[in-house]
Amino acid sequence: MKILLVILFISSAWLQFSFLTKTKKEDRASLIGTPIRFVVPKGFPQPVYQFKNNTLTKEGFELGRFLFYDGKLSRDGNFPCASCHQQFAAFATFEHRLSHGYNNQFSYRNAPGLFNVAWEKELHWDGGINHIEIQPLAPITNPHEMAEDLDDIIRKLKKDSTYHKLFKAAYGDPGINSQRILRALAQFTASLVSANSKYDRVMRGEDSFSSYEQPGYQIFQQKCSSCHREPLFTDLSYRNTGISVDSALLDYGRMRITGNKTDSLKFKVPSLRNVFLTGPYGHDGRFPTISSMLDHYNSGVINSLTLDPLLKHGIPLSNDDKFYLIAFLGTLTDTSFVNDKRFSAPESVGEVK
Amino acid sequence: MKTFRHHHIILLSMGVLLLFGSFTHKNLRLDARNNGELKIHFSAYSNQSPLIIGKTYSNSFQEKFTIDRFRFYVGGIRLFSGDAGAESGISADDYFLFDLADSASEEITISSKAGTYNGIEFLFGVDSIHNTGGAQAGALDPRRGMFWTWNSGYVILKLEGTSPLSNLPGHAIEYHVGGYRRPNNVSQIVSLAFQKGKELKIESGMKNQVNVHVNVDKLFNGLTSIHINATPSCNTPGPLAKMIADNCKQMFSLDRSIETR
Repeated sequence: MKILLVILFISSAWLQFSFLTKTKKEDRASLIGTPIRFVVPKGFPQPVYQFKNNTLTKEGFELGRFLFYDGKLSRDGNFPCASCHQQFAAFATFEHRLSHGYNNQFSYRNAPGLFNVAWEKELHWDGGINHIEIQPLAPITNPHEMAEDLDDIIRKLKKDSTYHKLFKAAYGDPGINSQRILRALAQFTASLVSANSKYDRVMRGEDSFSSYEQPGYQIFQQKCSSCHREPLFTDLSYRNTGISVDSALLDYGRMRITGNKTDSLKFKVPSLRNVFLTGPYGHDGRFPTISSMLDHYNSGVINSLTLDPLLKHGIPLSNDDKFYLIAFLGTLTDTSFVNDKRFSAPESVGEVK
Repeated sequence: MKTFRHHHIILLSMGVLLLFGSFTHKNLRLDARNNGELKIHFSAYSNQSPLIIGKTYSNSFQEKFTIDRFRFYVGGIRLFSGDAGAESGISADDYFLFDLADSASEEITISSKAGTYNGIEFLFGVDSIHNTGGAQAGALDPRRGMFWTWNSGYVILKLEGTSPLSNLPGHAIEYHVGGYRRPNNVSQIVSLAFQKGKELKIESGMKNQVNVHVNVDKLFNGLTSIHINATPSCNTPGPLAKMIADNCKQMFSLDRSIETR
């Protein structure tokens, strides 16, 4: 009897298994190659992006890196993703309120730094993008930014023998389509993890704050951390921080996405990691320095119906507070991240074949 | 001894569960030997006039319009019968994009289990899983121009053209219907029943065709009246898109004929 049961068990398990393998086959349009383990930094929550149907591989990541740095993704070849997302600026645009795009135009918003993007449920200042894989479609097709379309990109990439090799290495055959391009880009952008600043080392017990940084951290915890929540230094919510609307940009933020008046002038809380590198600040880069941003919270908050309740009275900050706070914010710079060769431009990118 | 019994029970229940599991899987898979072929042909009209790019039509409110572009998504097609469970269809992951400019897109061929069916059902639009699931391929490839890049999500229907009643530049009319967030989720199931006594009989080896009539006038003259002179365009998700989508749901009807070859 028992033997019979065991046979029954094994045979039905086999049946089930053979069925499962059959259904799984469809997903295999995805990557081949050497898998990379995505490491969640200690103390971080699980990321939103789990590389579903897009197994992180060395070859997929490498393809994504090439694409990220390649001007072919823009209409005139001058605006790769990396033109607005510069590694030395933690993948923001260094010292530009707005970024430059196709035909001497400006982007509508300040380019955010790209790091720990895998933890973001929604992307962009207004949260209009619901998935990391499709985010590149926005800058690529925006006539002010890369001003290109997918058909053109595919045509250009097909002519480039480097991509023939890269796509083959990543996907097993050299076929190029938008899904492969977008998933490879997501392999790269989702891998941009920044979690090795002095702050992180202090938290891991490997370092300690200076006598300036320590009181700064206490002020931060009292006055900033309810929105800029550790360890991501953002709670990823949308808030009106008491700013006026720019008369040229007429950007009302989140309201454009939800169509809801209560979302007027709300923008995503940006991470403060690498904040020394990502200025100017605010969704349109209107605050040139960290001190000007702090001055705004201290004395510049404009009251309105959608003003965040936490800012009804601004954030009172003495000059001492500001001094210590800025010292603390300096500990959020992750130099190993901005110098990480894995994330740098590949040497042969953009060669015209 | 007791532990042995436990083993027996556990093994037995696992075995039964697994066996049952594999059988249900089998039932879900269509038996190819027993299948017939079904073509579903979509034809676009303005009321009874076949829709042709560049030709001028009048809607029910006597507003003249000309169409340059007409596209919509259909997914998860299935046939249903009165008996619960007897159904046949394609994977819910399969989408089709009807494009008036592309005659090859008018017809969808599915393999269907033999049987008698009372009607056909499909999703008009794109479900929220595919709206939020990252980069898609095939009919859902963003290259097809049916994807909003600034506010992620699929445009499930595009009707573009001109009308002298439009106050937009170039007298353009432009209805881009999309949005997957509640309460303004535009995608919905369209269920079309065959006439009594004219049920669809699928027999193995036989080819059948069902003709779906798509009447663009319903976009204007549906549950809510959409007048071109007041509403020449829709370009964002929201209540207007939902209203137009509810109208568009009524565009679909079955042509009398079920052709068997």
